[in-house]
Amino acid sequence: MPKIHVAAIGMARKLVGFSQRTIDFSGETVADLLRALNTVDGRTLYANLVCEGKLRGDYAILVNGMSLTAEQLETRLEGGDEVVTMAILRHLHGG
Amino acid sequence: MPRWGMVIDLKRCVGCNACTIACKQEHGTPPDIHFARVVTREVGTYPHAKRTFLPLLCNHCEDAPCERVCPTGATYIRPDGIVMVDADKCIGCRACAVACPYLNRHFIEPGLLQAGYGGNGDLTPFESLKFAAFQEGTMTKCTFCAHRVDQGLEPACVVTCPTEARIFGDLDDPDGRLSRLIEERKGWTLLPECGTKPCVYYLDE
Amino acid sequence: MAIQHASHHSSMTGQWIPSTCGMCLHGCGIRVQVVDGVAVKIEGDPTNPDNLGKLCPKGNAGLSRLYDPTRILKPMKRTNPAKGPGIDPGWVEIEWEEAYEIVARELGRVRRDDPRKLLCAIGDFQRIILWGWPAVFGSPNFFTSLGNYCGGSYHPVNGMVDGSFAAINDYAYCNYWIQLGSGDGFSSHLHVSGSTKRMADARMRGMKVVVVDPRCSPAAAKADEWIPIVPGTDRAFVLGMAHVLVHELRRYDRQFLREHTNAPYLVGEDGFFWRDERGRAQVWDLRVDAPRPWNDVPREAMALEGTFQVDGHRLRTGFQVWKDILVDHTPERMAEISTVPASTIRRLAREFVGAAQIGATIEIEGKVYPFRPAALNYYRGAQSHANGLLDNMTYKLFNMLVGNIDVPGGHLGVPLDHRGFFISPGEDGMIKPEPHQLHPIPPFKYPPDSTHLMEWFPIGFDAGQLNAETLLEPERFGLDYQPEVLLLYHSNPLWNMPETDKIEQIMRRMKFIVAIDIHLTESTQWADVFLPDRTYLESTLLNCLEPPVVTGHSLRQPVVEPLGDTRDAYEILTELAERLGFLDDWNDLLNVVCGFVANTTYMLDPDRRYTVEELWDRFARSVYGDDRGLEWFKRHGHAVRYRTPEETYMPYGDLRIPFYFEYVKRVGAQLRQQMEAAGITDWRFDNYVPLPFWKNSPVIEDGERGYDFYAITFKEALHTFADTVVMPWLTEVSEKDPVHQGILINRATAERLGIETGQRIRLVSPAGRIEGRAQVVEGIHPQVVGVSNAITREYVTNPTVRVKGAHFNRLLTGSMRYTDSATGGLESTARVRIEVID
Repeated sequence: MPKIHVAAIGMARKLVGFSQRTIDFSGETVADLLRALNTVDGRTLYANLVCEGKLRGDYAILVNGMSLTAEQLETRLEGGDEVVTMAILRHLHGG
Repeated sequence: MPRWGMVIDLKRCVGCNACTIACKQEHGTPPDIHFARVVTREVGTYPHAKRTFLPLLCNHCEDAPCERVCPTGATYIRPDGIVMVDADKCIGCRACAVACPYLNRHFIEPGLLQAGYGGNGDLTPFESLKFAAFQEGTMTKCTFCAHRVDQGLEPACVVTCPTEARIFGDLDDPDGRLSRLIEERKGWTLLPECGTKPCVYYLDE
Repeated sequence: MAIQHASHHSSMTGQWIPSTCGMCLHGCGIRVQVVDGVAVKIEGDPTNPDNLGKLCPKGNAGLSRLYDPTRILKPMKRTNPAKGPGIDPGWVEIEWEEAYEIVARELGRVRRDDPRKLLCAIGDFQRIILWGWPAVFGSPNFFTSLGNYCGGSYHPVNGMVDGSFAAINDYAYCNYWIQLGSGDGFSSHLHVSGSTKRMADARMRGMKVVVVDPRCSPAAAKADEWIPIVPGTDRAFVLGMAHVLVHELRRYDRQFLREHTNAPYLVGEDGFFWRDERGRAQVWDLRVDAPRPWNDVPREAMALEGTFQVDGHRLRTGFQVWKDILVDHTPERMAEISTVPASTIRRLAREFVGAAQIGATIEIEGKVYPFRPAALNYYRGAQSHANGLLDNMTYKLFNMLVGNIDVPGGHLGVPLDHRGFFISPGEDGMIKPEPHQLHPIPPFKYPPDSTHLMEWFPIGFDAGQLNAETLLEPERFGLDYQPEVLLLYHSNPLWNMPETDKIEQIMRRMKFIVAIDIHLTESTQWADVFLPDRTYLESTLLNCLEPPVVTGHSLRQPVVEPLGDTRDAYEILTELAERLGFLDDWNDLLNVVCGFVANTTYMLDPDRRYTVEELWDRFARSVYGDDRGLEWFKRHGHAVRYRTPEETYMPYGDLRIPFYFEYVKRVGAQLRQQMEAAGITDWRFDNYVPLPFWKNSPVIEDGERGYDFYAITFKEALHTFADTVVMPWLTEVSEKDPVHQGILINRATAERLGIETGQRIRLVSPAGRIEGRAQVVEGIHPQVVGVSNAITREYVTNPTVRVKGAHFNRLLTGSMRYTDSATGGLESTARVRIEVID
């Protein structure tokens, strides 16, 4: 079974309960992955992050470093891929 | 034997004073003593007014009046033209300061080396190290960074100048950069009427 | 004996350690000579192509900061609860444990209550990765003018045009350089050491420089022409030149506009793009005389100009809309506004477009590019004003008229850092607008969370100056809390913000103030606890900020053992994060801002504490590979290289850049809807416009209230940032220069008013007043008075440095009225009356 490396940042990390983990993945898409990840509230990451088929605006997902748009949840995954799910900190500052 | 000189390109110079501070840093001169400095002046009237920037340093004159008037021989000219002061021989009579038409001779007032820039009576580690090279009651001056030149390096002011407005080299090399620049751009010296034969040349804007 | 080339200029004795200067934000490469543990010389690193071994005066003064006897070297707490100028805080030195306990207790209390009650002022540019700390704490607040004093409108427009953060003309190829309100290449702004070298080389090879500035700055002094101008009217001058190109000479780069911008896109009467039933933007297809989707028409067949009737609707190309706006921006009218003579406006426009060589090409490293060796550069003086968005748009559009955006010889975008331009496909074949490169803007919210109304500026910057209004009249803005605690991290709000009196009022309300800094300043003297940071010569980071010609990081590393009992600011903030219970979130923030999420190998474990060296080692390896970690950087000093032509020129490729800023109009319309729904009725939307034009600013209108002069501030190479203004190595030099000896006033004006050099005068603006010594000069516009930053500090700890106290920012207004309604950019000029103090 292909292995996917999953990382979670911020609130996403608190939901799934881990920062990084390599998992055996039997699904095909990013959406499948989100459904396969359980969250501490007894639901899945999909239920927490996705609304009407689109990623919620306060989250971002990177696949191998590239950011997906909210509509790209059917992006296919392959063994060895790195997926990062992150809560966007809107108040980051820079100068 | 080279005859060291400097060319200062006033077209390149932007009056930033990097040279002033690099020299301050290299020599660790005490407060209010600047071997290298920049004089600025306004010319013209509004709206056709400009500011001009004139970097100054010791001209290491071939016919140095400071050397001529020094009663003890503390001021001497090296074979390569650099005008130096042996502080051990200097009695601080300041005849050189009177003789120099360019205000390039600096007297170290008694007490000046006791207090540094902090104003709290103490010297910083940097000042303790650097002030040890000076003696109160004697004259000090620009040395064309002889300690660097003797290692095959350029003076600190030359090295730091962001616009490369300062060029250091052998005035006696007919094919050298200085000779070419002086000829092509009609380089001039300060106060030629004083007959000091400066080794610092300026190129017009 | 031969003299070695400058590349071997360092004296041989002692150990030379490569590092990075920290005297301004840009970080030139340096080497520091250390003898028996004492740093004795700083020189430019000749191997670093950024500054090519050169170093400005500030960089040369770095040792006087390291060894400054007035540095705070141990944590302190205040024993006198009374705070204010002239009040002795009663400092007592304490141990770090006690200091951390107190700070964590006070911040923890606020965090449990409402983390928004933390007000933050952060001013440490080179540690930009730490700026998100308040966000992780839970505070969105921004209590400083940093970034906005110069870049409030500048950065958003640069980002929207080509995904850049800053901009500069092409030193290598430009032949005709017009510069407005900027010291680039002469005294200040981008990477001064290397830039002055590049500018000097360009001038020596014959590049003509025209400098437009209210005063004879160093740039103006060296320029081929100095064009004096009324402050805040540079836009009028450039609109006048644009009028000349479009309506008189009819010379502009039609091909560039048609191919690389959205100028041909059709605009309806409502000012929005004319779209088909599928929402696609349209162009006028000259082959069939009808609108067609932009991607269905070959470029040659698109109309660049024209007004068209379709089904009773009047359509114009975006270019036509501006062309129509420009009709009444005649040189004569613009001359009245700016005092630049109409003949000069015409002449410069003609020279500029001639020098631009529209249609020319150049081959660089085997590739052919458009060649446009004429460009307009600008910075704070020309656009940090109440209509700054329009100023910036104007300068970009003028450059677009000659097709010089990001091409050899022309006007080049400068990226924020090593990641380059933020360019990705947006809508309608255009680049995606990127007005925010530092942080995403939160969505509109009422009541607002942030005291500077960040949620109300969807394309804007952080308008720190608005705190003066929101915190003193919170009910006007619906702010439902009051900050209680202030974090000052290398920031001096009492100096850098407008309306100092109001800032002081706000600081008086703080129950607790913690400072992370090196010195006591106007602001840090108010602290309850002072946590001493390390200077740049004692700390570690990798730096790459706004590099104009190069890319890549330069290492900052300790050159001596840190003095006293100080800690690196990263360690301080990390310790506080741990004590406050959010170390994991703090590490996750660093995972994001350091880019570790793009390569999870380097991701921080959220529950671990990392030292500053461990953090930067990861960063180095994540960017440059595992063989270039911190140890490699310690030996080599930097990984800086020239950007390639591919990285520099035409980064937008086939995507179109905005000429007609429909995005701005759309954002404004959306904000208006959101505000109306929230019941906000008195917000301004006047600058959410797609194209620039002339209108008066409140500063100009203040002239009718008896404030007949314009006051400007300025800086030159010796002083940038508050802390360089009080360094004796630098002040003893600047004090000898007349432009830093007093308030500059034009000679004719001074004679008319009976003012002589040395007399004490007072400047009174609608917001405040300052006093200083008059300095009569030729080199300033007759309607303008100039206040160098060298004379503005009110508080100095070094007794050898005189307090001059002409604190310019007291004259500025921080209110929304004087703020750009779209970007939040502040107004950096004030209208004043001059009074003679007898």
